[in-house]
Amino acid sequence: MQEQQSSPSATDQTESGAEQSTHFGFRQVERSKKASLVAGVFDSVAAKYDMMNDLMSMGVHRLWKRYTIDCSGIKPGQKVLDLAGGTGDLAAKFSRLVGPTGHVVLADINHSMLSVGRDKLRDKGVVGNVDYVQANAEALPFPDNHFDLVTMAFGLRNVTDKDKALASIFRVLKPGGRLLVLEFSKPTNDMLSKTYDWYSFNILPTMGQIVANDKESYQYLAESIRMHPDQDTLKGMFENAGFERCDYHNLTGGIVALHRGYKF
Amino acid sequence: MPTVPLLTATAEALVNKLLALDPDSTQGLKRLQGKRLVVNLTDINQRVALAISEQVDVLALQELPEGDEHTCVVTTRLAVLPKLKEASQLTQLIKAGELEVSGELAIAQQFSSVINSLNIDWEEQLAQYTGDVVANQVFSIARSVGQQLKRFGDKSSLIVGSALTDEKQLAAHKLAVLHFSDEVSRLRDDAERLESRLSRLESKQS
Repeated sequence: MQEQQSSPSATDQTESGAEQSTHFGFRQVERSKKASLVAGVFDSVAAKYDMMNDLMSMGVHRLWKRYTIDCSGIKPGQKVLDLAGGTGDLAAKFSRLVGPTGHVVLADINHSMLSVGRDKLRDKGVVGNVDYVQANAEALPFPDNHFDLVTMAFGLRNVTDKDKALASIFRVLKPGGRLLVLEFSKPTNDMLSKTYDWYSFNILPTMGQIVANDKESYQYLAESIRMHPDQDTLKGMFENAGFERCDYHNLTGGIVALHRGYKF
Repeated sequence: MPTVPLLTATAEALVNKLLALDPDSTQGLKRLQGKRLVVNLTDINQRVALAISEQVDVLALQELPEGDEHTCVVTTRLAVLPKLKEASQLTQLIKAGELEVSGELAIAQQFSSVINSLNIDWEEQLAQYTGDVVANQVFSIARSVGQQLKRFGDKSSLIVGSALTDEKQLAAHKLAVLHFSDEVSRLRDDAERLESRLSRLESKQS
């Protein structure tokens, strides 16, 4: 487990067979199969996704998302793409903030998550300026220079080719627009890191088993977090994709980091 | 734990709960839909935005927006905030340099008016959980206890005041303080008169 944890790369490709294999948690799988494996995980957890998020983070994920919105600088009338928007936590708030003259697109590669998100937002009365699109972040089906803001909360680590996704996001952003990626990252404190590891590999899968009757998906969650690039590597990937004024802000001791980059 | 988002989340829940308790407030809020009131607190370097739609979203902004017809930016200090409750005081505070406003001032005035005109029937709110009889009794008892406490407070301050001034003579009586102030004023006037006479005499001699 240690060997596998220590080798997350800037891309998801392995040194050998770079074109063919990628990681799925700690496992190596064929690149073409990762999307369907991730889809399997999210098909399984979609119905209890919100409840599990609240349980696993003890509600703190809501504060991380609030911080993301605080950093968005979004104004009425603007266009927002909430990528891997899942159950629509960010999209609901953006819908109110951009108002009737603005537009929010909630996009997710996974149909189950998109359905749960759409039902949830409609039940809350969030209608009119929100559209739902099943889309792959690596090949976004939107015109160039279209969005003022793209957000991706807890989605990038599941993408097979992160560099391709960042390039695709860069393309659809307007000049002056910004990308915000909220994602699990590397704790900055050793003690916190050890406690977090223990929690992730012992408590999370057990919690998944008890609440969602699905231990494997939550084992994958813990593993995928460890395989995700650390703060500085992801910042470098932003810069490689063409983003400028890139920075990141650690939240809860680096368990989560919010990365920000602009397209000029 | 991110502290600022926790505070804004609490403030947001509180503001929306209070607004929901007064059905008349929705009318006032409707006029403000799509508007933003941004409070820039210079002493603590925080920018809080109240974005109004069908509810109020509270954001801790990272960047200060520019004021326009949809956004009112109020720059002030934390200590001045309570004074903003009175919409009539805004002009005075601007003149005194305690407040800077950019954008549409009417947004701040209208929002202040919505908050000040909140009229929540707390007895009715309690009745939803306990029934009318219990709520009425609880509020009758609370009102009665409140009145008794006020009477007790007034009486106690009279007794303590009298003991301090008349019996123990540890403090001066109110009339004695007024008399002393008058004497001080008279002495100051006398000293000023003497000073002007002296300066007149000095100018005559020279």
